[in-house]
Amino acid sequence: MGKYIVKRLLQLIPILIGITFLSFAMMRLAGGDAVTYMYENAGAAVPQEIIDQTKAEYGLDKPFLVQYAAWFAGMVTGDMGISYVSHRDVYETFVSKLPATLLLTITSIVLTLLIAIPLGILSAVRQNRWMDYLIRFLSFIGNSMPNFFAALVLIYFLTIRLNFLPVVTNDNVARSLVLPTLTLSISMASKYTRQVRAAVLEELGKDYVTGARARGIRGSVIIGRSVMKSSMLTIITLLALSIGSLLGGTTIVETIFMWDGVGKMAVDAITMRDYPIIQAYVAWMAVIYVLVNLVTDIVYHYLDPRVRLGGEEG
Amino acid sequence: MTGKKAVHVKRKLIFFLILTLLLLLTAAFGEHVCPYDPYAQDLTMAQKPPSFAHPLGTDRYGRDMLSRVLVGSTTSIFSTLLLVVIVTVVGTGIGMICAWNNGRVDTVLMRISDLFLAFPGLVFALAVAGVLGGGVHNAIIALAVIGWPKFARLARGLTLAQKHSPYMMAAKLSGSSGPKLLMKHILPNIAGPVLVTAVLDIGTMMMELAGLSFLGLGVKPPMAEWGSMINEGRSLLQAAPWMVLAPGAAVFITVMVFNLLGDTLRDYMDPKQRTIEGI
Amino acid sequence: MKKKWFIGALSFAVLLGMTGITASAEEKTFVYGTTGYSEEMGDAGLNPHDNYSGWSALRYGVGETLFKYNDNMEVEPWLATEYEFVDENTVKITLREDVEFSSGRTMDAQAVKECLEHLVEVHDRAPSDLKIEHMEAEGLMLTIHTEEPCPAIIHYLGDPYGAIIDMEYGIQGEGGFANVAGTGPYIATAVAPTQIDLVKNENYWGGEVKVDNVTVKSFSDAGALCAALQTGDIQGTYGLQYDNYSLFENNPDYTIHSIPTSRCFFGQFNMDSEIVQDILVRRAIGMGIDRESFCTVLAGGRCVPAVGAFPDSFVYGNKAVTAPGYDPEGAKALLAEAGWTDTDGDGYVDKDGQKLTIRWLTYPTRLEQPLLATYAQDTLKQIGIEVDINNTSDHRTYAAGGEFDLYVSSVTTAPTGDPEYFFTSTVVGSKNYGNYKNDEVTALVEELHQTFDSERREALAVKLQQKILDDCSFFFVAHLNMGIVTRANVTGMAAHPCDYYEITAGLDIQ
Repeated sequence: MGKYIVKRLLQLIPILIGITFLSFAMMRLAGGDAVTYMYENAGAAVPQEIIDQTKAEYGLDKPFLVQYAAWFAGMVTGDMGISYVSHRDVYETFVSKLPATLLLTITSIVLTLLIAIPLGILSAVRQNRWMDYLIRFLSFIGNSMPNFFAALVLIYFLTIRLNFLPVVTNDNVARSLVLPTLTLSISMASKYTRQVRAAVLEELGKDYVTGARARGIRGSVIIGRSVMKSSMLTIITLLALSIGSLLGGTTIVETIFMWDGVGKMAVDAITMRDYPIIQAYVAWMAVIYVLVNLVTDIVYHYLDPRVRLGGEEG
Repeated sequence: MTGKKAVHVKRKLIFFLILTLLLLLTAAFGEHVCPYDPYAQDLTMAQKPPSFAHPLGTDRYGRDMLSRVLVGSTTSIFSTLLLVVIVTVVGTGIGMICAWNNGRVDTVLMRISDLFLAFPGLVFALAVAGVLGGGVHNAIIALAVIGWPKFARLARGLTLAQKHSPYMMAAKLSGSSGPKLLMKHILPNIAGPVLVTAVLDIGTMMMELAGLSFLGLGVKPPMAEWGSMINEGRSLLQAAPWMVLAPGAAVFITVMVFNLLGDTLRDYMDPKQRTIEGI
Repeated sequence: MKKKWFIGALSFAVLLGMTGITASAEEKTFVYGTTGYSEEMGDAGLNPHDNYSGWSALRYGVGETLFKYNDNMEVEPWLATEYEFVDENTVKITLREDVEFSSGRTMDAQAVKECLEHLVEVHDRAPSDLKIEHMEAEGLMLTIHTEEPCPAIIHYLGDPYGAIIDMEYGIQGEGGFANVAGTGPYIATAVAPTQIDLVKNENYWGGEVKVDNVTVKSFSDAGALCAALQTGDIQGTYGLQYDNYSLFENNPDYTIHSIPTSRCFFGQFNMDSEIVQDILVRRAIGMGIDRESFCTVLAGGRCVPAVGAFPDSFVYGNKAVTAPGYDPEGAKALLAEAGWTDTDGDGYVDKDGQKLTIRWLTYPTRLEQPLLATYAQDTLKQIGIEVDINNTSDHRTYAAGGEFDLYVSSVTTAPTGDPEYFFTSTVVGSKNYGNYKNDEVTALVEELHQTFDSERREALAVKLQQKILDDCSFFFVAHLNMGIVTRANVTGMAAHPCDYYEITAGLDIQ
C-alpha cells in the first residue's frame, strides 16, 4: 500500500512540470502584462521608460524559456516568487487565501449531504409517488441552473427583494457564508439526490432486501445498515470529485460573493496577468487532481476489495 | 422491465425529442421570428420593464429583450452542440486508438489527458481568448481542448472491454484489419453509452460556455448570446432585473430540456446502466 | 436521520447567531466602502513613496501634501503657506507652523526635505516630474533647486506621492500593509490590502476631528458595494456603478455628491490608416456620435459631454474651445463630399467597392468604454459607417502595432491641475498611438513646457486643444463624474474633481 501511494505521488511530478509549463506558455501567449495593467488601473498615463524599467525588474523582458527556468528553479527550492501586483510572497498569499476556500468547501459539502441523503432516500422509498415526483422535479431544476445564474437569483430575491441576507458583511463570516454555500449546494445537492435515489433503488431491488423485509426487519433499518453501505461507492466517487473542484476554488461563485479564496485569487491574477500567482494556482490544481484520484482509488479498494488498485495497467 | 414501462419511456423520449426539435428550430430561425430588430437601439426606450409591446422588456440600449433572447439562441445552442460534437468525436477517437494500441501511444495520450483534466479551464480559456481574441469560436476551442479527455477515458474503457470479448477474438482471427475492426465492430458497440454521455453533457457544456461569456470572454458586441447578456445585465440586477432573468431563464430551460432528453435516452437504450455524471 | 437533521439545524443556528460586535454608542464610527482601494489598483497600503499608495494616504485622511487643488483645480497652499520662484531653477517654499506628525515630531523644513529626498530616491514617477537637484532646509523655509526649469513643480508637489510623512518614524510594513506617520486628521491603526482601520488624530493642526473611528473597506465588486450600502453595512461609498445610482437618487435616505473630473473618454484616429486619413471622414465620425444621449441615458447622468480635454471647471475647459456637435445629416453630407455613398443599398456607404468600416479599438476595464463602442456602432450605422469593435485588455499591443482606425481610451487629462501633462504624453508623446504630426502643435507644446506664467499656460492649453480639434485628430466624448454616495446622516464628505480628497476633518455623522 505504502509503495503504491509513493508510486502514485511520483506521477505528480510529470503532471506538475507539464501543467506549469503549459500555463506559463499560455499566459505569455495571451499577451498583456501586470506592470502595464497596474499603471492603467491607476488611471494616469506613465512614460513607457518607467513601464519598461519595472518590467525588467521582474525579468519580464527576458526570453520565455529563461523565465520558465528561473521560475522552476525557484519552485524546486521552495521559492514560488513574488506577486507582481502585491509584491508579496506568492506562497504566503496562497496560504492566506486557502482557509476561506476550505471553509466554503466544508460548509457546502455538509449542506449538500444534509439535503441530498435524506431526500434521495425518501425519493427512492416513495418511488413514483408524489413525493418522489416533487423531489425529482426540484433536483432537475437545481441541476439545470448555471451556478452564476443561481447566485444572481439568490441575491435578487434574498438580499434585494426580501432584504434577508447581506451580500457581504463586516467581519461576520457566518452570515456572509450563507449565500455562497447555498449557491453551491443547490446544484450539488440536486446531483447527489439523483445519485442517492438511483443507488438506493438499485439496492432495494436486490434479493437480500426482499429477504430482510420478509423477515420483518424495518425498512429504515435495512436502508441504514445495508443499502447505504453499498451505495457508498457511487457517493464517495462523486464526493471526491466535488471536493476536488471546490478546493480549486469556485471561481465564479467566489467572484460574485467577493469570497476571498483561491478561486477569486486566480481570476484576479489572470485578469492582472500576475504570472507567479497563476503558476501557484495551476500547480495547486495539479496536486488536487492527483490526490483526488488517489483517494478515490484507495477508498474503492477499501470498500470493495475486488477492485484492484487502479492505474497499474494504465 | 415490463412492456408497459417500455412504452412509457418511448413516449417520454418522443416528447422530449419534439421539445428538443422545437428548440433547434428556434435556434435555426431565431433571426426570422423575432418581433423587432435585435440590434436596433432606441435610447428613449432604454431599460423599460416588460410590457405588451416588449414582453421581456428592453435593455440599456432600448433593444427588445425577447428579440435578443431569440437571436441569442442561435449562438448559444449551436455553439454548444458544435462543442459537444467536437469533444465527443475527438475524445472517442483518441480513446479508441489508446485502447487498441495500448503501449507507448496509450501511455503518452493518457498522460496528456491527465494534464488537461487537471488544467484549470478558466486559465486556459482566458489564455485562448488572449491569443486568438475574444469571441465564441475561441471559447469553443478553449472548452474543447479541456473537454476531450473525459470522452477519451470513457471510450478507452469501453473499447478495452470490447477488445477482449470472445466475439472480437473471432473477428480478429478471421483476418480483419485494425481500423476496420474499430470502425465496423467496436464503434457500433460503444456508440450507445458515448451518445448518452454526450447528450447528458450538452447541458453542462452550455452552462460552461455561458459561464465563460459571463466572465466577459464570449461574443463580440453587438451579437447576442445568453451568457454575455446575463453579464451585461448583471450591474442592473436591481434596476432592471429582467435583463438578467430573461436570458437566465432561456439557459435554464434549454439545459433542462437537454438533460431530460439525455436521461430518457439513457433509460430507453439501457435501463440498467447508470453513468456517473461529471463534476 | 432525525439526529443528523437536528445537528445540521443546530450548527446552522449557531452560525447565524454569531453576529458582529457593535461599537459603543458614544463613539462615532464610519464605515466606508470603496472600489478604489486594492492591490490591483496599485494603491494598497499608505506609503506615498510606493506606486500609487499615496492616493490612499491622501484619500483616507492620513497624509497631506504641501499644496492642494481646489475645485477649479487651481493650486492652494496646504502644509505650505506660500511659495516663490527665486529664479527659473529655484523655488522657496514656506511651511505651516505648528504642524505635528502623528509620531509626535514637529514638521519643519528638515523633515520635509528628508521625506522628499526619500521620495525621489525610490519612487518611479516623482523624479522625472519634480526634477529635484538638491534642497536646503532652514527652519520652516525649504529651498528646492531643480535640474532644469520646472514651472509645474508646485502642481506636482500636490500629487499624492508628495504626501509628507515622517521619515524618522519611517515606513512600517511593506506594500499593502505599509503604515506611515502623516499630518492628517486620521491615524491608521491597522493597514491591510483589503481594509484600513483609522482613529482620529487628537492633535490635528486643522482643528477638532469629529468622527472617532473610520474603517475603509475595499470592494472588488460594484454590485456588492451597492447592496452593502442598501443594507447599511457601510455608510458611504466611492465607485458605485452609475447603473445603480437610480436606486439612490430622489431617496431621502441617501446623499449623492458628484462632480466632473478630468478623466476624459476620447478617441484618437490612426493617421497611418488610409481610411481615416481623410479629415472629412474623421469629422463625420465626430459628428455622428450623440454625446448628450450617451451621457444621460447610457451613463445614467454620471458623465458630462466633452468638447475638449478638460471639464468645465477648468479655465481652459470645455467652454473655451469649440467642436462640431451631433449632426447626423451634416455628417452624411461630409461623407458624400468625401466620395462615400451607399451604392449597393446595404445601409453602409462605400467607395470604389469598399465599405466604410472603422476598426474601433478599446478595452473593458473602464466600463463606459465598451458601452460607448456598442452605442457608437448603432449611431454611426445611421450615417452609414460600419464599426468593427475590438474590445480587448491587450489593447496596448494593438495600439502600438497600429491595428486600429480609432482608439478610444480614457485618461485623467490633468491629474495635477496643470494642462501640460496631457499634451506631452498623449498628443506628442509616447501615447500618441495615432502617429499624429503637426509641426505647429509640436512647437506649441514645447512653448508650454517652457512657460512659467500661468495665464499664458492656460491660453496655450486652449490654443492647443482647438488646434487638434480643428485637425480632427482627436475627439472628446465625455468627462466622468466622480461620485460619493452616503447615508443622509453623513455630512462633510464631498466629491472633488481631482479624486484625491475623500475623508477629511470635516466628516461627521449626525
